[in-house]
Amino acid sequence: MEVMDQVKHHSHSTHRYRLYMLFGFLAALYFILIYLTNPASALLSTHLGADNDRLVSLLLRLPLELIWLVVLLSYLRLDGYVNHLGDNKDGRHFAYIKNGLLALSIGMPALYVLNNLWVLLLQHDVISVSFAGIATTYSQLIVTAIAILLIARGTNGINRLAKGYPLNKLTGVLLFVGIAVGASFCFLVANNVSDPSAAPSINNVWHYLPAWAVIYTLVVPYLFLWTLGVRSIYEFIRYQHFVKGNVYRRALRNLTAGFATVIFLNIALQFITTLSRQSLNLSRLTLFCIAYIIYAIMCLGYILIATGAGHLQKIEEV
Amino acid sequence: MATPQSPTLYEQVITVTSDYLGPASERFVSRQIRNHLNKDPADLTRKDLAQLIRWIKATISVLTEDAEIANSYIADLTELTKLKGRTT
Repeated sequence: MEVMDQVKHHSHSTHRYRLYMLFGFLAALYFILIYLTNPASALLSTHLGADNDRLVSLLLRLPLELIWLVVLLSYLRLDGYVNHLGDNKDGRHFAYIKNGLLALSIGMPALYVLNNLWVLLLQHDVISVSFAGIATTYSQLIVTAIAILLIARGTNGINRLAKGYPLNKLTGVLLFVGIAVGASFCFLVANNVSDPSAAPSINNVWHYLPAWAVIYTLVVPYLFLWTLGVRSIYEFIRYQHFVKGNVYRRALRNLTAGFATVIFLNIALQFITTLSRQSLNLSRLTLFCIAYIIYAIMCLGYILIATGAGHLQKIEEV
Repeated sequence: MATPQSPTLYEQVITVTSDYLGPASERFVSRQIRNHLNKDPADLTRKDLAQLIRWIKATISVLTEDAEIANSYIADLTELTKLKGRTT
C-alpha cells in the first residue's frame, strides 16, 4: 500500500512538472511570436517606430500571461483535491471536471500561440487569409468543445449523487438567458453573413465559408456547447444545494461559484470573439480591452475554484 | 428467510458522519480509525468509540468554525455509545 502510494505520488509530481514545463514553453513561444509579428498589426501604434510598437504590444499582453498562470495554478489545486478522491463515486465525476479545467488552462495559451502563429505565417505569405481565419475559428471551437464536454460529463455525474428536486426558478432564469444569448448570436451571425461590405480578415470567417457551413459547423455547435455549459452551471449549483453533509456543502460553495463564473464568462468571451469585429463594430484595441476585463473577472472565478478545492482538500487530509 | 444484519458500528459512524461530511464521510472516518486508532475500520468496537470521538472532535474544529455544527456532530456520535446492538 505504501509502495503504491509512493508510485502514485511520483507520477502525480511528474504530471505537475510536465504541466509547468508546457506552460512555460507556451508562454515563451507566445512572447516570441508577438515580437516577430509585424508591428503594423499591433494593437496600439505609438508612432515612434516599429520597435516601440512591438514593446507596447508585449507589455499590453503581459497581464494575459499572469492570468494564464492563475488558471494553471487553479487547475493544479483542483487536481490536488481530485487526487485524494481516487476511484470513489464522486472522484470519478470530479476527475472529468478537473480534466475539463485542464483543457481550458492549457487551451487558452495554446490558442493565443496558435493564433499568433497564423498571423506570422500570413504576414510571410505562407498561408492565405482564408486558411488563417478558418483555422483560428475552428481551433477555438475544438478547445471549447473538449473543455465543456468534459465538464458537462462530470457535473452530470455529481448531479446524480445529490437526491433532491429540480431548482425551478434557476432553471427558468438559465433558460431565458440561454435563449436570449442564442437568439442574439444568430441575429449577429446572420447580419454578418449578409453584409457584403465586411472586409476579409483573419477574424471574419464568414467571408470564406458558405452560409450553411457557418450555421451547421459553427453556430449550431457553439449553441449546443453553450447550452451544455449552462446546464453544467445548473447541475453544479443543484449538487451544492442538495448533496448530503452541511460541512461538505459549505466547503463546496467557492468551487461552485468559481465554476459558474468561469463557464459563464468563457461563453461570453466566445460570443464576442466568434463574431467578427465588423459585426460588433469594435476596434481591435476595444475588443482586446473587453477581453481583458472578462479575463480579469474570470480570474476571480479561477481563484474561487482554487480556494474551494483547498477547502475540500482539507476534508480529505485531516 | 435470512434476517438482515444490523449495520456494523463502523457503518453507523459513517451514517452519522454523512449528515456532516456527505460523500467524504467514509474516507474521513476510515482515515481517523487507521491513523489514530491504528486498526482496520471494520474492526472498530464500542470500546474504541470514545477515543475515536475525541479525535474527530479535534479534527472537525479544523474543518468548520461553526461550533454548533461541530457540537451537533459530536453529540450524534456520542449517542452511538449509548445504543445497544452490534459491538463491532
